[in-house]
Amino acid sequence: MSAVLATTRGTLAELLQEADRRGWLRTEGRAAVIQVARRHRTAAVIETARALAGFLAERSPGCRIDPPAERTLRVAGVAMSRGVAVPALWFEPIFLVTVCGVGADGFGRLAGPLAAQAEALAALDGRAGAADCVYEAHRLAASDLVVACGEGWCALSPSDVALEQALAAAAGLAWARVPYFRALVRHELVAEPEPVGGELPDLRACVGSAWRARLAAAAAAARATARGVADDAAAFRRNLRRIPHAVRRRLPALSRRRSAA
Amino acid sequence: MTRLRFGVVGCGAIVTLHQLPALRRSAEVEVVAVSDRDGAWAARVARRFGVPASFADHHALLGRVDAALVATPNTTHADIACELLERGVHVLCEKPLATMRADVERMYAAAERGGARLVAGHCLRFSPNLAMLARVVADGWLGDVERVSAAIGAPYDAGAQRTDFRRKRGLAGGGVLIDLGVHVIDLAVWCAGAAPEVTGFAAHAAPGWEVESDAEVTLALGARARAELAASFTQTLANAFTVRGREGWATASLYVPTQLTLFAERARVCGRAGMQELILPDVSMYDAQLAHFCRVVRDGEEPLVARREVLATIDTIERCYARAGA
Repeated sequence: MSAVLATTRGTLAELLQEADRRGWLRTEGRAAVIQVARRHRTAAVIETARALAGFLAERSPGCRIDPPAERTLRVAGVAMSRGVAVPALWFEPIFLVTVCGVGADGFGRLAGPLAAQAEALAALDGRAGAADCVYEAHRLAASDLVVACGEGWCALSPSDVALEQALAAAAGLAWARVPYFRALVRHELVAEPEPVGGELPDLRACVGSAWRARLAAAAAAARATARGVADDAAAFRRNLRRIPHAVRRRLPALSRRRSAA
Repeated sequence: MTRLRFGVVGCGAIVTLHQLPALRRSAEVEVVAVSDRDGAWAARVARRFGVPASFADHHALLGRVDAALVATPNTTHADIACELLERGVHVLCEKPLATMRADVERMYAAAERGGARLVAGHCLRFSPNLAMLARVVADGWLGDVERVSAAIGAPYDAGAQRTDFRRKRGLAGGGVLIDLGVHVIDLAVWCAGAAPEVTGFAAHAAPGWEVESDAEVTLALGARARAELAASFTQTLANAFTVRGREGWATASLYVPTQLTLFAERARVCGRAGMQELILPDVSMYDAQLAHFCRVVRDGEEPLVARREVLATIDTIERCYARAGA
């Protein structure tokens, strides 16, 4: 059974019914939270999010679209050594849905569900790299349902990776060469894609240029190096300031030992 | 805003290493005098921290200060604090507030008579990770609390002390249980929200100690929860505080205030990525405690360490010592 459902002619309602039949919309009493990507937010994306909210409202108490991150928590990161600021909402038992459009991306070439999920983290940490945000968002809060759509087409999946792979294929890209997947496979195994249940449009027009992506990657690497040097210098300064305090704490014990001897 | 005129009674290691630096950083207070039975030492401390006056007798603070930090040996807290409170001086008193329930009640009664505020200085409650842990418990992330475990301790001689009062019953009022164990008992009372019943107590006094240098306590916290607490002046323990609930657990280092590790079944992040280590702001617990004390005095905020919690903690310690026949 395919992990991605898509249509270029049917309506979202038909896809949702099939998804429901497959158990992908089992909210189990959790409040549904729909995050709508800001990039490539077309009328179709907004309409899809609203339709989805209407559908989920029947089976989920307090379905919300784009709730503000009123409180944030910082958790230890895997890709981000300084930690990851995340919405406190992620610690609540929610059914998380991401709705996005598809378009060119300066870093990842194709902006799809993985980049959409990462927007929440990028908004909370302006210094974070795009690839790091994509991986951390996927690791910490991969959506229960991801929906990508455009004019006249729609695709959804319970797997952010599977849908991204399907979109990459529709855009004529080998998924393993897409920069965001390169960021993922540094940390986890990514299975080969399965065939899509349905049809996706030709998305080749949505792909950003390869040379711009390479430039962006080089710039990101340089920024990361500069940040690392700055962080090391700050840590060095902090530790230097701790030395007098540490000495003062240990002096009485040392003098006691000396007088005892 | 007028700054609170602050006095410090007792100039031991906790004051010179932590409390006076915090008092100097605060914009809400002005340290006008310090006192210590060793007048020469008090003068040295005053010079080092730029405090205008120093005295060998805390009575000299009366009339000069609005508030005072009492950081003397444990058994002297009650008398000194009562004198200050009855004269309307607000008191932030180092833990343990007193060594007996009767003294604790006497201190709160003195505060009422003098119209002053008394705040128990259980500084670990202001440690960012332990404050977050308490919030996690209160918000129900872990479900009903089932078990609390904590261990606090390090070789006594490795730490900074100006005097050796902790080895002496007359000044310390007890051993490691009342001096260090009081921290984790207070945290257990705070997190579990229930007065503990002592179900077990074991203690040991190392050579050279009039009081116990090592202690282990087991407590029943309400009907379902229990606590296992250990404190030591002879060995390095885990120095961590852990709460296990029906739906998760959280553990916080007592000395790394910026980290809290937790797993909460219902938290979406934990369901996806397993246990999480929260990274918290690096805020000095002494600064936070002092800011809280100022709010209690100026704004009438309720002390974070409630009177009933102080009493529950001291009752627990007294029962442990009664069990041991100390």
